[in-house]
Amino acid sequence: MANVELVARGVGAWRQRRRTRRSVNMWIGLALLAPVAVMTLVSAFWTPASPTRTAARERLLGAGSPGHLLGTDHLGRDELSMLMAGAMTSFQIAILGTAFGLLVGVAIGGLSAMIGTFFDDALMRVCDVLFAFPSVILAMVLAAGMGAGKDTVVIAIALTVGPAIARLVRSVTTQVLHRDFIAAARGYGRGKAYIFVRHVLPNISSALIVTAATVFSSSILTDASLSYLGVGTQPPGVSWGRMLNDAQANVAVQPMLAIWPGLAIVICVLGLSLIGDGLRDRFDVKGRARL
Amino acid sequence: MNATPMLSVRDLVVSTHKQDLVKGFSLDIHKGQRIGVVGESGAGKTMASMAIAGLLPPGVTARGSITFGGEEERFEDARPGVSPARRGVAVVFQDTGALNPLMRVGRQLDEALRLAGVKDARERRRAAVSLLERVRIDRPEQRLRAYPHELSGGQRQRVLIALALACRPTLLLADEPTSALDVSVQVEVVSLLNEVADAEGVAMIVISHDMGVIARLCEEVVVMYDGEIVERGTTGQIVNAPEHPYTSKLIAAVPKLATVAGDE
Amino acid sequence: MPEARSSVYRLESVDKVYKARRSSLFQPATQIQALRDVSFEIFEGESVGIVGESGSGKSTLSRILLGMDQPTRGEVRFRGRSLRGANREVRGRLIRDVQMVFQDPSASLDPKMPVGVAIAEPLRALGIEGDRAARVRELLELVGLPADVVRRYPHEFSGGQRQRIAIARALAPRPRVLVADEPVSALDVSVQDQIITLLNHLRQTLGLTLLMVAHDLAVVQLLCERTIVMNQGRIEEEGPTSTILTAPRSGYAQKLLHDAKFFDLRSDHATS
Repeated sequence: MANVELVARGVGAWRQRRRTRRSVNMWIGLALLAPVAVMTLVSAFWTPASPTRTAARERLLGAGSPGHLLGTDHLGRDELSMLMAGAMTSFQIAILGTAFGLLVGVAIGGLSAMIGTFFDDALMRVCDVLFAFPSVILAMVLAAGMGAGKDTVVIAIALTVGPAIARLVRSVTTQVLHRDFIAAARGYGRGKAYIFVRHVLPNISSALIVTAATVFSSSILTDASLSYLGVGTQPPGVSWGRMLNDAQANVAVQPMLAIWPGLAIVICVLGLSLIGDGLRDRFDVKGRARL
Repeated sequence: MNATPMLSVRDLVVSTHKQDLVKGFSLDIHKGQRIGVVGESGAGKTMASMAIAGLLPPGVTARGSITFGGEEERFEDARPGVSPARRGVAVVFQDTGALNPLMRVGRQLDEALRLAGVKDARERRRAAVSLLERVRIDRPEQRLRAYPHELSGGQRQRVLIALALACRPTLLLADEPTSALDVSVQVEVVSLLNEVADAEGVAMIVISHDMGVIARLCEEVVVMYDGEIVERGTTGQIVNAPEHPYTSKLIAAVPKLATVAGDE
Repeated sequence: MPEARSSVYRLESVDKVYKARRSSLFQPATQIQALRDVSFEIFEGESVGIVGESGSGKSTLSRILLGMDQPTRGEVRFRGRSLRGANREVRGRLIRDVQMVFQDPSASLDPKMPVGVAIAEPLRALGIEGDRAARVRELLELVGLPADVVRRYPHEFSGGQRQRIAIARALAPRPRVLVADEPVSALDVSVQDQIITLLNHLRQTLGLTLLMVAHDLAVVQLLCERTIVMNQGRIEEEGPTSTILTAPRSGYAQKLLHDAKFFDLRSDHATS
């Protein structure tokens, strides 16, 4: 087998294989995430028990105990209820963090690309500096200033993913700006702001959707690590990271208490990553925000 | 034309699950012959040629028989691959994304030559230089180190011809070899294709929407319309006495210089 | 060129130099001279072809004519007014009066914007009042497209239809001048013919001034009375198209003519 077109064909076949595999990935991702999403939604109306009700006599029960499907923690709180309530916390933080991150990223990246010149350079250098900060350390600094809590985590996430999104937005915006329909719009007198909103945003929306999925999954992870470190959600609020922290002290007695939140985090992050990959392929998006 | 043709395509039908893109395509081409396939975009000319090359896109299947070098292959709603039987068919791609932008020209030629079975690296390098010389690229040693974007459109099209020649083909399939080029560059590329085909003694199938380009390259023409061959004949016949109204339309469409321009 | 016609554009010794971005901090920025000492005048109602190969500076020229770029040296006058440091009023008039048709309609139409919205865009951008929907219908009829295409997206059309849409959009603000940058070279030969016919028809019925940038003399001949031949940023030759086609003086124009004839079906090579 020797031919030039063989090279081309090889490439085509490889793309095809990747496409089907990605589509499978997306379905696996959705299958993983669906139960978590349902659990989260249900927790808004109902949990098997109150996730904050402590019971001194029912501490550290094993899974399958009467009334406690997944057992209880060291304060006698129902593990399943906490898991469900924790999902709600995680999702809220991740959604807000992603939304603010996107807002910051689109604003900075868009401005940078639309204005160009030294302003562009300056903004991108600022982003580089922020980008170099690990979100965990940034959150610690923030917590020292404004106290630990949900807000701190959301801001920390937004500030760390924002610069990465800004870079992506800047690069895809620049690509769109080079296309003739932008020149045409300038030709009949449209200003930059209008061009960005009506022409650039619709044409980069698929890249943004893909990025949102990736950012969302990393936000869940960041939230978990911050809560684990005690910077995130404060008691009596429930979160997966804090559950992990609590479980650590009792890992010798009831190791399953660490497994449940850990498993929930892994399922969410994996599921979202797979969905992000699938979306990326479906939209044929090439860029990728490094997070 | 009594000898057996080198390539013989019979009743080729190319279809997606929705519709037939090519509804019956038959073609014989003899050693060293040049045939043009002309038609508008969507007439099925590219799909027919890609089926011959074994390069149909995913989801597109072919039916019919293709005989190349005496070996017949029959397809029943299959995607013909690049079979060993059709080794010797090479495609000259259009200069839109056929070259890898991240790979130096030399690497791409080297890759093609390696796939063509040239084992020795030094020999491949010599062959690469000679290929570039054959497509009239000046300073070939230096060009090997160039990235595609550092070359002009005309030069890139030459590199694509060199890539096609790497596997010592007996049949070249040129799909719109001059679209998207300036007229002056089109002239260069067409002249080069003529030269190369003469020098290497290869047969050529040229696919184009431009009857002017076909007339400069081919002695026979097949006119395709809506997936079917509506007319075939020598270039002279087709140009001077087209029978099908669609053919007349295609010929009339070629921009002509005013008669006042005279023929020096 | 009757002298009575009023001047639309007048270029006086226009130079344009681009600075390429430095490849390294320690290397001097390289300069590219896109236009050298370009002077010409365009009159109301004329159709002029600017011919040259890619890299001859013709695209830079069209950007300057549209006011998207400023010359490095020299003067560009639009209806007698200098475009250098022009005030809002002159710019506004330029935008309203001069519209552009691009080479590749699949690039010049926003893939995410329905056709009807795209055609009405210049009307909204320039604040032109009136029944916009009616104007869009009128424009579609003018370019030979049915009125029911307004809700569809550019990818649903063929190349020729897309170019018709782009032309309709350019005509929306009733410009007096149309700058067309290779308006047919991205299209199938059989469609080129139709677009050329359309442009000729529009030019005559609307009395437009047409400036066409192209590389193919065969296309220029069908649309333009006068031709400016450019090579490496310089004007090589200028004159009535028929003169350039019959008696080109410069070597470059002769080469262009020879190349354009190469694909002419009536020359003897095709009849053998």
